[in-house]
This record gives sequence, structure tokens and C-alpha cells, in this order.
Amino acid sequence: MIELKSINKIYNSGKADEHHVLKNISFKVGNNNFTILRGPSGSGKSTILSIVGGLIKPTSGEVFVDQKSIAKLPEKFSALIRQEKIGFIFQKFNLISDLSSFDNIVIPLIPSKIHKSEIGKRAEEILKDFSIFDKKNILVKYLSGGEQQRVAIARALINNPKIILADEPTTNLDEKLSQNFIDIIRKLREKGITILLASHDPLFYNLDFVDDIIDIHLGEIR
Amino acid sequence: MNIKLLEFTLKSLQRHFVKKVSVIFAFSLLVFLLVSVFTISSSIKKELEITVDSLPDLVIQKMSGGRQTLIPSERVYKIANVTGVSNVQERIWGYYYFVNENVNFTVVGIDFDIISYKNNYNDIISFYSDKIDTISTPFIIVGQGVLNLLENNFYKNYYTFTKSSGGKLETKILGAFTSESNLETNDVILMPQNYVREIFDISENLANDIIVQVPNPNEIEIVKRKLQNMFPDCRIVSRTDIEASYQNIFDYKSGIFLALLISAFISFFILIYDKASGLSKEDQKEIGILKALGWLTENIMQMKFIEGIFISLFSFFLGTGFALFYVFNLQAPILRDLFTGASQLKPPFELIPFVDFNILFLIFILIVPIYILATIIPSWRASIIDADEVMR
Repeated sequence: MIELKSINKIYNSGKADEHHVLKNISFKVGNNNFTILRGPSGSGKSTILSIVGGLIKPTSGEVFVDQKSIAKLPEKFSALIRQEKIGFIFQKFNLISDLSSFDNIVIPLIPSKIHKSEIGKRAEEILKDFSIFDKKNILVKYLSGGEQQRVAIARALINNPKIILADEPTTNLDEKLSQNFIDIIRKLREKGITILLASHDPLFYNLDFVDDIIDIHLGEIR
Repeated sequence: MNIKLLEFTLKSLQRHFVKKVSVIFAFSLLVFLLVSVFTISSSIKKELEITVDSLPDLVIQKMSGGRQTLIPSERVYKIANVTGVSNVQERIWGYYYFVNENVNFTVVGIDFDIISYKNNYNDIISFYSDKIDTISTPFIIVGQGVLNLLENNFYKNYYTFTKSSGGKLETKILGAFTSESNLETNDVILMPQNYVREIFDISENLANDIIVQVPNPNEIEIVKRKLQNMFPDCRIVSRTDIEASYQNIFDYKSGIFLALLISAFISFFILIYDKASGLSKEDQKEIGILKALGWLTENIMQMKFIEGIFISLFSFFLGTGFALFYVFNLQAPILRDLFTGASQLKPPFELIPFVDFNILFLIFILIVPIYILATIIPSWRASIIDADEVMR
């Protein structure tokens, strides 16, 4: 499902402040696998997720998502792959605070050709699945941390993605909410979604449904 | 058109309305100023065109010591014999100082036995003909502005003139008139010629000036030269001269306004550029989120484009609406005085409702697309940065 081959990422290449963030990274994430990228802050985990999600391009190397090489794709095509196949869960949720839960959830499908009524139906189902249907019209800035987290996950799932990329999803959560998140991830895994999660939270390391843990340190796989 | 995108953009506008208020205000203010100035200018220009159209082809003024003086009426006969001339009339008129309001009225003598060279005077005479035929005492027919000022001073039915000789002349106010051009007739008092002679002490064999009509425009200059040769003590003024003189004054004032407006324009675009180029961190982050969630750069551009169109159209129509209300309903206080010169135009005239749609279109074309570009370019710059970078 996901494959990285000899990925290097260098910022400010050739300049005095050149920064080699990723060094020769290669790994595979199989279909329906739950893989964790483990490592301290600044190790390059988020950069790997950004490359897999097509948000940034590697300086060298190949990236395959669902058997398509995305490393050198023009921005438009990588955006389309994101739109169709990938759901992002961000560290700080990255919700638009003055939009309602419903409006935040449907954002990924706004540019799509899917009909408005179909989008509404999907969003309502997801809101129900995550027990936040009653918060449908409430601006997310008025929601609790846990509710915001569920909105963020719901938004990542609205496009029925094959892959979920989660970047430090529990950093801002207390233990109870972190446990809720793990339950949700478990369910997603059961539904057949491939999950690549970057975290240095020990809560994830001993989960029984984790398929693989990749240790990253200073931009390299240990 | 993606309706979902349109709806999202409208919600975005609603969310950011407070942030956009300063831009909408500046935009509307600029449109308001531009439309006001150009509408006043068009309206006055229209007035001047009407005024110039009603002017005689030539006016003969006798000069003495560099100043205009009364002209012998008998010259009318000599002028009438000049080839090319179709009509000659002596004019008896003068400025009458109305002390109560510190204004000058233009008192024009009418010879009811001949057709005036001014069509609107003929219309007025015709309108009041029944009353004129039956009245034997002195009477006046006044412009709307004069009527208002007289009424303000409780002159409802009669007004008494003080003659140059010191005597009094009581006149009945027969009625008022308006014409297409307020500038021309607002301060006018029409009355029989003999009473005007009495008021200004003009004897029977003299007139203020003589007007000449020359039907063939190509002959006007030739007739003018002939008359100049015939009467070397006279100044011959053609309609073209007066038109040029009006135009010069008008263009001079328009030029000042244009300079002011250019400054306003520059300030506006500095503000817009500042607003637009300084996309806030929040805006940049939002663009980053949208991109990370699968939005294409073109989707973001479409959103910003729609946003720009809404803001600019809303501001344009708001500014234009206010400007038209300001000019035609409120009669453009301050700006109009700057244009016309407050002291010269008493009694006050009303701006005729005349909107030059070419000018409106020009203003639209000048600022709406530029605004859209000025806002869309920074958004495009933000949207082509890696979403990853924008969001960190």
C-alpha cells in the first residue's frame, strides 16, 4: 500500500543552513496494516508523513502509494491522490475553529464531484458513528478537546480513505482521550484501513493490533 | 461553478466579515468619491451643455475703457443687414442685488411682442400668456431658486425692486419656472423690458448687448469678423468662445479633483496591497489545511476569486448607491461647492440627475479587477507553498 525507497529530504540544499532531515529512508506498509513511526521530536517522522501524503516532495528517492509513484507528481495530481485515498489526522487537529463540526467534516469533499446531498448523508453518518451528531451545527471552537479530536478524525474519514496518516495525534490529549483515540484507530484497522501513525507516545507501542513499529532517529531508520 | 465551493466561500466571507470591514470601507469610500465627483462633474457638464446650446451664436458688447457699457439700440438695424444673420435682438438685463440673502438675481427683460432667441423663455411666456394678457401692473416670473429665496423672506405675491435712481417698483410675482438646466435659469427673473429699463436706468435708445443668430455654423466666424470691422468699439463673443471659457474653468476644477482622486486611488491600493500581501498566519494556515485535505491550488484560487468578486461588487454597489444618494438626494454638500464655487452660484441650483454610465463602467473596470488581482496573487503565493510548510 505504501512504499518508500531511499528517501532523502534536504532543506536549503547547497546553502550554509542546509539541513538533511531524512537520510535514505526505506520501508513498506502493507495493506490494512497499522504501522507506527516512533522517535523523538525532530527525528523526521512528520516529514515522512508529509512525503507520503504528497504535501512535500522528497529531495531524492521514490514513494509509492497504492502502487502509484507520487514523488515526482505535479502538485495537482498529488492533491487528487490525497483527495481520494488519504485521510490526515493532525497533531493539533487543524480544524477551522469558526466553522461548525459539520462544515469542518465536509471540507475534503467540497472540491469533489460528489453531490451535496451525498456529502451531507456521509457527514451525518460519521457524526453519528463518533457520537457527535448533536454537535453538528456547533462551531468547533466551542467543543471540548475530545469532541474536536473526533471531528478531526471524522474529517479524515469523510472521503472513505484507504490510508490514514496521523501525526502525533495524542500529544494534546489527556490519557482518557488518548485511550478513546486508540479505540477509534482499532476500529479503523478492523474496517481495513491502512494506518501510518507518527508518535513518541508510549501508549501506542504495546498495542496488540500494531503490525509494525519503525524507529526513526535523526532522520534515519535505526 | 461548484455550488459547494460557492457556499463554502460565502461562509468564509461571513466568518471573516469583521476582518474585511476595513477593506470594504476603503473600497466603498473610494468608489463613493469617484462616483460622486464624476457624477457631479457629468451633471454640471450636462448643465453647461444645455446652457451653451441655448446661447446666441454671437453677442455684441460695446466696450469703453476696457469695460462693457451700454450699446446703442439702433445698431440692430445695421446688423440685420449683414449677410448670413437671421435674427438680431437687443438685450436688456442686469444683476439685481438681493440684500436679504446676499445674492445676485439676473433680471432679464422680455419683449413679449417678439419671439425670444431662447426657446425656454418662449415656453415660459406661452405658459403664462393668459395671465400676462390680463395684467396691467408690473410683474415678474422667477426661477425656482429665486422663488425659494423670496418666499424665505416672506415675499409671497409681490416684490418691490429698488431702482438705480432710488425709487421703488412693486411687481407681482406671477409664478415660477424651472428648466432642464438649473444653472442657467435658477437665478433668473423675467419681466417686461420697460420695467427692467426702469430698474437699471437704461434709456430707450440703449441696450446691454445685442445678440445675433447665424444659422450656418460655417458663417459664424465670417459674420463675427464683419461685425468686428463694422463696430471696432465692440467685443464680439461667439458661442464657441463662451463654451471654451466654461470648459476651461470646468476642466481646471476637474483637474484638481483628478489629482485628489489619483492620491485616493494610490492610498487605496497601498491599503489593498498591504491587506492582501500580508495574509495573516491564520489565513495561511487555513490555506495549508485546505491543501492538506486535498484541495487543489485552483480550488483555493476559485475561492479567493469568488471572495474578491463578492467584496468588490458589494463595495462597488454600496459606494455607488451612497454616491448617487449623496449627489442627487442630498445635492452633494461640500463637493458641489468645491466644483461650482459656493459664492458664485446663488441662489443654489439643483444638480440634474444625470449619470454617465460610461464613467461608472470605467470606474468598475479600473478598480474591481485590480482589487481581485491584488487579493488573489498573495493567496496564490500562499497556496503554492508546500502545505506542510504553511501548517507547521
